Amino acid sequence: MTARVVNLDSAHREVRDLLPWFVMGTLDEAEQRLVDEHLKACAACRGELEWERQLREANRVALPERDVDRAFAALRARLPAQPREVPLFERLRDLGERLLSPAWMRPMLALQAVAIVGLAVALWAGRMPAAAQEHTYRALSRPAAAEPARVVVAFTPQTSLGEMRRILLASDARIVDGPTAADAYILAIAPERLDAAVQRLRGESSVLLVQPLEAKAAQ
Amino acid sequence: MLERIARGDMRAFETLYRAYFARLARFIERTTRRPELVEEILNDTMFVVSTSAHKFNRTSKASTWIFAIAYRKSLKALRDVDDPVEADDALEAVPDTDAIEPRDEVMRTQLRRILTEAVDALSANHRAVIELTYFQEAGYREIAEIMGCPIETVKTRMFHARRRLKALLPERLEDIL
Repeated sequence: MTARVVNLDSAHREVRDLLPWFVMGTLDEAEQRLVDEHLKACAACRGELEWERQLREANRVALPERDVDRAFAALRARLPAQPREVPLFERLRDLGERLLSPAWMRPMLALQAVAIVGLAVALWAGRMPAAAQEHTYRALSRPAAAEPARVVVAFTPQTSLGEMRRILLASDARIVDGPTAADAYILAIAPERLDAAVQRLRGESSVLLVQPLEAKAAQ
Repeated sequence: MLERIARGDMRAFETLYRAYFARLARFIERTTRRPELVEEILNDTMFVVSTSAHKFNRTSKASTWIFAIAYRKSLKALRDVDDPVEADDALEAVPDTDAIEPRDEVMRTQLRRILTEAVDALSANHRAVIELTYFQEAGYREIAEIMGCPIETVKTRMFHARRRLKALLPERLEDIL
């Protein structure tokens, strides 16, 4: 019985202390319900509530208006003219905090997961040819795999892109460098087709210069 | 807004200043009862907001942070002029009861005046709780943040403020209520 009285007292005290915020509607839902329930049974708190309402009304008195322009001008004169230089460590810290904020966390984690998967795939794919290469056996007597021959070519300034493309396709050549400072291009051509290609290139009216690089070195 | 202010954006600061001016002026005036000090305390507060905006850590509302600065500046100003901040047991400025006329609007106006005077007679801590609760419409958790004290202290201060107000009000007025 005593315990029950004590509990009732503490519940009454709790509600009584919450009444000012109950009147203002600034309690959370659970507290609002707690007060509502208690008020039904407690005449003392209902009386108190009326007094709270008077207090709320009394505090709504308006004070004389002040001159915001004058006050701001006074403060403006005290503030530094230049924007504050934010130290690097503060900027980094702010950036870190912003990136770690809940709003950013989810997309960042998703991005991180994608990056991890991407790296894993790249690593796996990268290892495969490397492993294959390691086990390739080549006898010293065997000639090296044919490297494409290189040819320097210069076109007339009037040569159109379409014309250039036609000549390259006809000669089985690919541009691997250029235009150089002298406006020339380096073409790669399979060695077995080199002679035919050089001849064909020299026969083109748009081509000013044809000079096989390897041929020159071999001479 | 505070991030822009931290970067030195003066237009953002002016917008914030104008948005808070009336509310802060009122809070400071009601807490200190020193109308002549209000603008100085308010500008001290906004000076700190301007120069410390980069320290605002977003764990509380911007308004809570700003009011907390205003509260500390108000108490400091009162200490500077030797005005007691804590509750004073010697109750003064008891409202004049003879002026009350128990008639509708007249009575309500008088009642408001007397209650306002009664609030003025409280300590600065009690006045701040009353003002934040009834005019600024802050919940007790937010008030605890602003005043930098435990939630229970806010409830206790409010309870004592209400009890003192009742004690300050004339019995006749209590009958009317």
